[in-house]
Amino acid sequence: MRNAPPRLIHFDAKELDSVSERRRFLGNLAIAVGAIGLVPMIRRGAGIGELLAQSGGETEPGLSDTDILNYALTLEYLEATFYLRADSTGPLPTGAIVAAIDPDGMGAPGTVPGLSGRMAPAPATFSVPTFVRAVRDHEIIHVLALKSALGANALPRDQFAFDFGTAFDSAANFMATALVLEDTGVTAYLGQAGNLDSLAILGTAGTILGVEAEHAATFRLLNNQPVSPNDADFDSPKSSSEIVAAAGGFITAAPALPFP
Amino acid sequence: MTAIPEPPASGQPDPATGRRPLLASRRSFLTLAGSATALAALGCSDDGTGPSMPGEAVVSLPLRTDMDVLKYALFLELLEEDYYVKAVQSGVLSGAVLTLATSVRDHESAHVDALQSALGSAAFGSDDVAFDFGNAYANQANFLATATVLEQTGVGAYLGAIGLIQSKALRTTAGSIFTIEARHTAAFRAYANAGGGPVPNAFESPMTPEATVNAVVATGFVTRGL
Repeated sequence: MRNAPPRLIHFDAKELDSVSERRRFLGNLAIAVGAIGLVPMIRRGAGIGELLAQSGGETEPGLSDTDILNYALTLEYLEATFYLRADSTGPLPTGAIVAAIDPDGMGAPGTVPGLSGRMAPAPATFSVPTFVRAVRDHEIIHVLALKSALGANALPRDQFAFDFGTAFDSAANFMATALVLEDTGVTAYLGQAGNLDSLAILGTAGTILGVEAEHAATFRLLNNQPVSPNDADFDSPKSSSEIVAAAGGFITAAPALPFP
Repeated sequence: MTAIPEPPASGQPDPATGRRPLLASRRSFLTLAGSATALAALGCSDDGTGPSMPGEAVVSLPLRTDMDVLKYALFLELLEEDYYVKAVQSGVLSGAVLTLATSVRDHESAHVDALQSALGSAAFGSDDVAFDFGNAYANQANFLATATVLEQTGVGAYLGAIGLIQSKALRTTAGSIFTIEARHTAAFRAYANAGGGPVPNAFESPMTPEATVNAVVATGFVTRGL
């Protein structure tokens, strides 16, 4: 996990300007989603430049603290949407409504076949569905917190669209995708730890980052994996371009993004 | 917090170990003064279990420099490393818990190595600290409960100290350890079947260095080094 992920699909962003090309791409994405984390992003909008050939953890001096918060918000939108599409039942955290968290998720299943029957690995006995719903609520709370911090500068959710391919077809697919999303979130936050100027924002981001790491470790246990990727002693910071390469395949529409 | 043995009443030797608790007055002194010399004097108390040499406290508060923060982190990592080395040797762990403890032990050892390397000649080592974890190895449940508290304390400590680090590169390094500690916390909570599940809160809680040191002292685990 320490190296930039290889890309399974190579494409020219310009090709994706047409609806048919985008549809073809989504078809490829559905095939590639079995190798989640290895798909590239559909890159749209004036603020999205070339994929940068950066090494892991390289600092990104062009990003302001506001940019970095919007980067975090994008990832939290992605995660909150993912879990809401997996489980749309029960009350949401105060201040959250489905239409605001997932305005493009009209066809979302809201349940994952087999998830309710999943058992925690012994000697753990926690309820897997209860844990998944807790994670959903955490991610929604992170969205609300980041939007509140950004105020009028927050990127609006209704300008994004997300597609998770076959992730909700089975409990196994869901678990594997959740693992990748959470590990990606950890490396994304970590990659910006040295780029933030405000110590207050650094501290706040840290309180979220740690929880993403806890989610990641639990999903790793549920996937019969060691708590860190390859049982690593350290988590690896990743640059925004590496994150886009790893998770951007789930983003099918986005406003002009400040990164990268 | 149930697995952490209650410190005996002030000044009384622990019936299990015959060891006197760390004194409350020492705790507040740590917070206020941070004088290594004065701490060493306090450490050489009349119970005979203080530093065997005219030792020095390896952590001094407040944390003023990046080196101070690194030493603080190194102390916490040495504590954790010792906890898991003894846990794996204890013979009371089995199955997935033993696998996890072994993995965590190796992570903590790597953190110790990295911090010692960063500190260079200012580093200290396992000879400068000593720990007694009481009844934490009495059974697997005790081990898990104490591990959960130790890891949670580590998470809070890193989070509370990261803003004190001047070097942005070093902040990233500290962060890359911090998230591993957070991963450990969730895994131990899962296996401990902690109330609230593996991840009970949407946000981590930072702990100031002073609060962390007070909490560590209050466990009674530290017999040399603070």
